[in-house]
Amino acid sequence: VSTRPSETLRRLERLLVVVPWLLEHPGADVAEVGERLGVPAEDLLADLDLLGYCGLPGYGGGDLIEVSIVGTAVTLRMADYFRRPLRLSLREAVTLLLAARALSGVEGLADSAALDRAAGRLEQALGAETGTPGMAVELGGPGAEHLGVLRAAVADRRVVRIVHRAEATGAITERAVEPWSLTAAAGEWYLQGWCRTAGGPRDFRVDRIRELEVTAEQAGAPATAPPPPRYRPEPDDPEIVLDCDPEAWWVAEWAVVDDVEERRGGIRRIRLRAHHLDWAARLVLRLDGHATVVAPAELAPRVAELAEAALVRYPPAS
Amino acid sequence: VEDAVDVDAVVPSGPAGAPASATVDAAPDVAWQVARVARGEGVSLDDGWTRFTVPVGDPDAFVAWALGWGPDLAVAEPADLAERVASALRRAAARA
Repeated sequence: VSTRPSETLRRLERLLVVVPWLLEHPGADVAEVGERLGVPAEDLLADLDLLGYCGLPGYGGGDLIEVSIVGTAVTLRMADYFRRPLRLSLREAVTLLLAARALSGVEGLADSAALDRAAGRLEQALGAETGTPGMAVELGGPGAEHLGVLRAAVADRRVVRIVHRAEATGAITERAVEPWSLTAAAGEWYLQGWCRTAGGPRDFRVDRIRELEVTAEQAGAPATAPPPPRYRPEPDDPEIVLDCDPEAWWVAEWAVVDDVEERRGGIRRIRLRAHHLDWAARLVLRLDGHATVVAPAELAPRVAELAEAALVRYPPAS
Repeated sequence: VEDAVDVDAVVPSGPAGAPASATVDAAPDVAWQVARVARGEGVSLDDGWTRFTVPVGDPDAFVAWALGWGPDLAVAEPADLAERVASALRRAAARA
């Protein structure tokens, strides 16, 4: 993060133009490309070098964009996944659309026609009428008040003390965390770092941080870049199997699921895993009868138990 | 960008007759989280729970939201939304 934002944006803008052009003109001459785009050859080479690190997580052979320069002739080869038809989940499509809208509002990104076209197509695919006015993106939300403080703590590598509530268990813990990064994923902000209390790398959703204190202590840098925050099933996590009617199909788009099987009568059998049974029990409660528990055996009784406990605060049925 | 606009004052409440807000009671462990979506400060109850006023857009979404808290949140007002949540809980309790 040594470049100033305006330089980063100029570079991004350049790449948005360079990549499609190079794909259509394999073997183009470096100097010629630079001349066409008004970019010094050395800047262009730096951009192409950066492209070699672009791709989808996995970062193995075949996952990255390949740049080959023979003499002065440049050829781009997109990684194999670009050839597969793209199938976005509703959540991914909306996330992408909002990101595109937020980005096109960034000052200094002058020629974002390509971005606008892509956003327009996404909107159409999502069923919006073309030219729908007034989609606005406000970057904020619950927990946003912590972002500024955390960003500074990450930059200075200051150890932070947080009081955090785990979604799955509802457990509230106080932890000391060496902050590595602040990352947005699937619409939420996460603090990633080394949790000294747990003795391992952890992701904390920022909107679940109740108290935050930045200490004077400085921590070291992470050994490797942390992976993107996302629920990562572990071998011991119980498999949850739910038969969902159309009202509950959204679960497959919202959670990380192992498998979705179409069954008769508009039922989809969704398999997913969770660290904690109570997380699944609350999900089933929320689905209000639109999902039937198939497995594990202890889940249905747990749902009933939570419901009983919740009913204590309501008057008895008349 | 225009001056800040109070969305609640401009956007009409949900479908005809739907209430624009509800009163909910939150358990001590989750009160601070509910406070983030609530309007104004909460009021402490005798048993340590906190009473909040929260906006209601779509009543169905509100009922699902309330159910997802399990035993940590209860809807006090309005009566029809409280009854919707309670009857969903009764059905869930009976399904075991």
